[in-house]
Amino acid sequence: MTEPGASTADAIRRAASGDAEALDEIAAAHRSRVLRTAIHLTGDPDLAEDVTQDVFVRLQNALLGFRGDADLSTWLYRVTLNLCRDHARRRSRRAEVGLDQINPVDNDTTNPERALALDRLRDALRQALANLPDEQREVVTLRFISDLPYAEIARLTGLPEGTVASRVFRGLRRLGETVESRHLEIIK
Amino acid sequence: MMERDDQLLLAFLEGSLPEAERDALLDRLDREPELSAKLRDAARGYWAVTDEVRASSATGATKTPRVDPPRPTSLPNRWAMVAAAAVTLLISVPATAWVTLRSGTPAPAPIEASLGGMPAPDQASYVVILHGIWGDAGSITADVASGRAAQYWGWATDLADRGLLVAAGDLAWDPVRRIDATGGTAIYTEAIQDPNYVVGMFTVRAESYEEAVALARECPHLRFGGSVTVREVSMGFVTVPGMDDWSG
Repeated sequence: MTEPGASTADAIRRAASGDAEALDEIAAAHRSRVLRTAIHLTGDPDLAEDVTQDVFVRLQNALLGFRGDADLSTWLYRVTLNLCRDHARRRSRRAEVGLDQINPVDNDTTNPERALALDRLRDALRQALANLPDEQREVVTLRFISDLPYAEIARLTGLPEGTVASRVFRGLRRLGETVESRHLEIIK
Repeated sequence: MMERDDQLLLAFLEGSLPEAERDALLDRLDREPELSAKLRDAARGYWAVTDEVRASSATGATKTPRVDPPRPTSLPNRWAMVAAAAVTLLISVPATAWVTLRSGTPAPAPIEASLGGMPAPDQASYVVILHGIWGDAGSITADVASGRAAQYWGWATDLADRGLLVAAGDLAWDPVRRIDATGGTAIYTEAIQDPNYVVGMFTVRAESYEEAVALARECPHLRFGGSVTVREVSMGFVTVPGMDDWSG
């Protein structure tokens, strides 16, 4: 993996002071990585393009806070993850309630259609979680509901940390598969 | 190898993979569609779960809040089991989540005499009932919760070391139904904010009620805004379904 040159602290500084060329340099250096991350996370090239565009729009406002390329890279990575989540969520809810019903406020339950859609998603997730094998449900729960770190879960369960992580990952995969199939059923 | 891939993909998803490993993984994802599909499926599950937890926290989990982490399946020893009971009971208190964690309704365990847990003839057993969620449950961090759980653990293991702990158990959060006496109507109540809401039970051995109360006074639950009731078990000890027997 080779990106076309790492962004430098100088480019960041120049971009932060309004130098559009410097911003283009940074974008050129990181765009591919952001786009590939988004593609692998969403599986949708169009959505991934939207995410990438949003990431770099946000970058313009965030540049002043970076000390160097490592900060920038980590920021881009995290924002990409968050925006993939946001875009996927919006797409999912849009499909469920119809474009005209979308309310821009997240978790708005004053719109009955939207509230119903949220309930359906929650029901699907609850069902999927309840149906996980015990060994996966246990660690997924401890990790995300009880918010325990992996080391603590390993200590509680007597399992190696790697095994805990692996079980969590497999549980998430299974949840994802179930939620997606449920989603596809709903939008058919 | 597969387990290692799972760990890498999970770290990638959680945003904790260092840059060099991230780039190496991206290269592999480009080359290996199956790996990419795994990541995508897990991402959907991860987002769904974390979104839901976040939404539940934001709304105060007014709808069927339930936190009931399942008992770990492969605990190394009974002290770890004590810990698990304490942690699953008490770590869960501040996390206002919604999930029904058990698959379906488990068949109720039969009530049976716990021979090993039967107190000696001159020694009664007492149920220590913990009431009320932590006063600051909605605002503490996971680390604080973990630290508190460790205190419950210490309390329970100390009782066990002294041969005084018979059983420990956490209680599922809902449904909470009270059946009235006028025809068995099931009344659903969302009573989690009720200071009398029962969140856990321990059974201890003691020479007298006063001694049992003294043991209960040491329960960390009292330090975090909860209260404790002590009741003598009048007819010998029976195991309570869902509770573990610590006597063995």
